[in-house]
Amino acid sequence: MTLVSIFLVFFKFGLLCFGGGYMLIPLLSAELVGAGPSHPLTPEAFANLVSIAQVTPGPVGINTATYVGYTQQGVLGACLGTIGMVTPALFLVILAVKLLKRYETSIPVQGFLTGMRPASFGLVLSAAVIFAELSIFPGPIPWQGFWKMLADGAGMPEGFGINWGCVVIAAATVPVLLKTRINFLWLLLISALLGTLFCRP
Amino acid sequence: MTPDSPFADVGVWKRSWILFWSYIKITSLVIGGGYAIIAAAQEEFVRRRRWLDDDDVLEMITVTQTVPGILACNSAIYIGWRLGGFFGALAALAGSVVPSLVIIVAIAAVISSVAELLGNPYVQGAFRGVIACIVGMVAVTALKMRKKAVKGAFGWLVAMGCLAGMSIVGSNPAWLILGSIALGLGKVSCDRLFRKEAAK
Repeated sequence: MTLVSIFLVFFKFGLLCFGGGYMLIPLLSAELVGAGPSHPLTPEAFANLVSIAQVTPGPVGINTATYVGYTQQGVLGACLGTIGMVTPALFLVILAVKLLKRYETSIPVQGFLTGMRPASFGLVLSAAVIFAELSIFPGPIPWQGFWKMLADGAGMPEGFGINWGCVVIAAATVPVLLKTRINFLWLLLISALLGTLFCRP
Repeated sequence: MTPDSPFADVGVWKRSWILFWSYIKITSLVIGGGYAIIAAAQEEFVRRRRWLDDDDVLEMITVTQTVPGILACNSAIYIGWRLGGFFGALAALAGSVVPSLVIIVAIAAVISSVAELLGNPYVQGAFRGVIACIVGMVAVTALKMRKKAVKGAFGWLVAMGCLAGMSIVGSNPAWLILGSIALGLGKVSCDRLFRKEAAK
């Protein structure tokens, strides 16, 4: 890929990726994974990339863009991939804020806010569930196993368990954040330390 | 620069520098991507610095999720724009991507051995500890926005629909967002129609 095509591909991803970086993964795999010069990533490289992007600090989508850009054209490619990815949003976010202010009382804006405000709350909660599935639970919550357990009295779904160290950290974080003015960065570091002691798989 | 900037007396350079540096700190330590970074930004700019209030957070999250792009960067652009205008938006955006650039470029050459390192139980323990803390942080963000975000039965229906759609069904968030907007438009139009009828 040339520098220009890196920029353009990620500009397109930046425009198409609705609902956050997790949506980027199917887009990326369709566009970049495969054989031949137009598909620069092998499936193994892609799998490594996805797992690394999620455990390194920073936005998952940016980690991905940076890595793909870097493998193609070095540091310059990494920068251009990232810049391409965020350029559409820079203008769209500002435009959205201005439009919301300007047409505050119109039916489209009121309807948008009426639907999106509770939806945002639901999506934030679902993010908490996703993070719980990465820490408190060993993986995605086996809903079907639970329905079975309730319906047929089957036992606990296989492989399901609770990491109590993580439960304690998560539960303790809430009152600490609500009641104290501690810098949350310290909280993250303390959690990492406690995690090595009490949250090992 | 927006007129409602709460620290208008601070110069634009200083303001942008604070935004840039705060985002550097957040994105170089927070694991988990979008929602984790939004929760951390909420901690930094609302609770610690008190430069934005809960209404702003609600608007930030609403806009962030509707506009395409990376959630974390969208929220950085929003906060930067509100606090420092276009230059502030650029500074916050730069701060939110620079740590990724540095970290990923640093580990890109050895990415397969880093992937192996992830199997180490101590590394996994630390990762889980941090993510557990982020569960609490995101829950606090949700708690704080609930009162203003969810109103009446309609609000709970949409909110729980999105939660179930994401966590149980595993639907594409784009459809949930579009569906919620459509429902909201329907509700507001119906409300206005009935109000007109009642006025007659």
